[in-house]
Amino acid sequence: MTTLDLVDHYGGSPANFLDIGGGAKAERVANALDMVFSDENVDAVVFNIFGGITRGDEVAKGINDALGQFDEIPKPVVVRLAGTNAEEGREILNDELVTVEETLEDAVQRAVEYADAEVEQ
Amino acid sequence: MKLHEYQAKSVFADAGIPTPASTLASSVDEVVEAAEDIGYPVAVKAQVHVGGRGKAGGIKLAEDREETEQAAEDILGMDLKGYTVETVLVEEAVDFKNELYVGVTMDRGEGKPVAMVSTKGGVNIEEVAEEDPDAIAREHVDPAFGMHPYQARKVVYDAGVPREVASDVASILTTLFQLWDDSDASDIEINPVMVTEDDEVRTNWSRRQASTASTTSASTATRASSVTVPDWS
Amino acid sequence: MSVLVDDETRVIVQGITGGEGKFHAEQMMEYGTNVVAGAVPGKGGQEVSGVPVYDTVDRAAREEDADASVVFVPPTFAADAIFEALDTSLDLVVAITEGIPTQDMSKVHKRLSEVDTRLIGPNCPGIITPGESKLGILPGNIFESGNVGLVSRSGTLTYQVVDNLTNRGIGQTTAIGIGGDPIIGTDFIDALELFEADPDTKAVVMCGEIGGEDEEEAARYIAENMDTPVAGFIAGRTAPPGKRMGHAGAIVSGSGTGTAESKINALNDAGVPVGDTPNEVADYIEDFL
Repeated sequence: MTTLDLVDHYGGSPANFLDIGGGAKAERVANALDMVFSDENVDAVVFNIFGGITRGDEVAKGINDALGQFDEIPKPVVVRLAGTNAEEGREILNDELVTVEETLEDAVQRAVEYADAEVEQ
Repeated sequence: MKLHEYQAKSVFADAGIPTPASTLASSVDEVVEAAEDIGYPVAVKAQVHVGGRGKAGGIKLAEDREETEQAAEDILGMDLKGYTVETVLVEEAVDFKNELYVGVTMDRGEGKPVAMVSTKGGVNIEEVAEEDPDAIAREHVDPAFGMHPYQARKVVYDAGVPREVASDVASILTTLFQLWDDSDASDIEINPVMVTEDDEVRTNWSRRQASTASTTSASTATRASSVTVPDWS
Repeated sequence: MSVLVDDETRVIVQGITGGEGKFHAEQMMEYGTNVVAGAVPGKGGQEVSGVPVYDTVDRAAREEDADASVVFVPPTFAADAIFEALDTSLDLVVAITEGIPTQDMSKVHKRLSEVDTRLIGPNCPGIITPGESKLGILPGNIFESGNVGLVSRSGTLTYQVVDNLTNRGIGQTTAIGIGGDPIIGTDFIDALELFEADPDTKAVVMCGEIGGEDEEEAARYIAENMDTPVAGFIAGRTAPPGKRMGHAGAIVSGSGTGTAESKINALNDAGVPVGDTPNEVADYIEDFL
C-alpha cells in the first residue's frame, strides 16, 4: 500500500497492485508478472521486496528464474530489495533483465521515469 | 424432577452422545425378548431412583438366555431401598479397561457451572469426592462465554485421562455442558464413560467385565447416568 | 530498557508442532528469546527443537514458569488458544495468526477487559526488543538496540521504517506490531502509553494506515498526554474507497471515515509530523534526537 502511495507521490499513477505474499517462488513471481504484463495500462513494473524471514538472495534467484521464463521482457522492471541478505540478493539479480535500486524511494522514482518514457513513445 | 436412566439416555442420544442399544421391559418375557434382540452379553438394570443399584443387586449381567431369565426374575418386583422395581432396562454390554466420570453441576459457592472429570469413574463419585478429592479435576465455566473447547481439554488432561482418548472425552464433556445449559439441568453426569481395550470411548454402556475377571455382583455395579432437571410442575 | 519484553521473558509457543510454529520458535530461539515450552493439545510429552511440549497452556506455564505466549494456531482454533492463554494469567499474549473471525475476536475483546493479561495482535508480526527478545515473526537482524519506540499496524511498513532508522545508526527500544485486524488487543494508545512511561524511549514512530479511527484517537492522546516526540506515517493515501487493502482492517468505509487525509490532519493538529515517505519519517526522528 505504501508503494502505491509513493508511486502517486512521485507523479506516477498505480495501474494495479499485487501482493505476492511471503516467500518468492519463481513460479509465483512468473505468474504475477504474466498477469501484470498483460495489463495494457501497465507501462512499468516495480518490485518492492523487503526480505524479512525470506532471504534476499532467495528472492533474487526467484526473480531471475521468473524473468528467464519470458522470451522478451515487454515492459521495464525495477527491483528494490532490502532486508535480510539484501546485498547478496542485489548482486545476484540479473541487471540485463531488471534495473536494481537500493531504496524504495529510488526504485519508485525510476519506475515512474520508465513509465513516462513508455507513454511518450 | 429426576430422570430415570432410560429417560436420561434418550436425552443423551438426542444430543448426539452415542448410547448403547437398550430396551425398556417390565416382564421376564419382555426382558428375554429384548436380550435376544440386542445380542449377548446384556445388562438388566432396575429403573428406580436410588444410588448404588448395582451393589444392592439391582443390576445384573447376563451372558445368555438362561442368565437373562434369572436376572429378570431376581430384579423385577424386588425391593430396592424401599422402592419396588417394576421396569428394567435391557442393554448391550462391553469390555472395558478404564472407567471415567464426566459431569457438570452448579458450584453454588462460585456461582458458576463447574465441569468435572475423574479417572475414578464407575463408583459413587460422592465417595471419591470425599475420600480422594484430588482425583476429580474441576474447571469453572464463565456462563457468559460457555465452555471453551480448551477448558474441556484442560479438565480432561488435568484428570489424567489417557492421551489416546482425551479428545473424545473432551468432546463428550462439551456436549454434556451444552445439554446442561440448554435443559436448565442442575446436575448432569455420565458415570462411567468407558474406555475399551481398543481405546474407543463408550458412554453409558453397561460394562462387561474383561474375561479374566468375575462377571458377578460387584463387577456389574454400573451406576446409572443421571440427569436432574428442575421440576416446574 | 524496553517495554513488555526483555531477555528475562519466558515464552510458550502455542502451536509449536505446526510448520509455522516450529520454524518461528527456532528463529526466536536463534535470536535469543527464552522459548521455554510449547503447548499443543494431544502432543504433551514430545519435544520440538529441544523445547518440551505440554497438552495445555496452564501446565506449560506452571511447569516452566512462563509469563508470555505466542500463538501460531490456525484461524479456526486461534480464539480458543487466545482464551486459554488469557485464562492462564500470563503477562503477555502475542497472536500472529491471520484470519481469525471478527466475531471470535469480539468475544476475546470482552474477556480482555476482565483480565490483566495484555494481548498483541492478532494478524501481527509481534514484538521485539532488539538484542534481547523477539516474540513473533519479525526479522531480527534489521533491528538494533537504541532509543526509538515503534508502533505499527503493518509488518512490512515496520521493517521499512526500522531499516531506514538502523541504516542511519538509530536503534530501537522496542518495536510493536499491533496488527491489521479490525479488532485487536493492544492499540496505538496502549503502546504510546508504554513508550511515554519508558525513560529510555526518546522518540516514537507511529505507522498507521487507512481504516477505523484509531489514529485519530491516538492523535488526541498524544496532544494531551505525551512529552516524548512522535513522528508518523500513514499508508493508503491513494487507496480507493471501499477496497480492502491487504489487511482486513485497512479499508476506507463508504461513509468516508478512515481516510488517510483525516488521520494525517489529526496527527498534524496534535503536533506530529507525518512523512510522505518512510525515509522522511526517519528524517523527523533524527531531528528529534
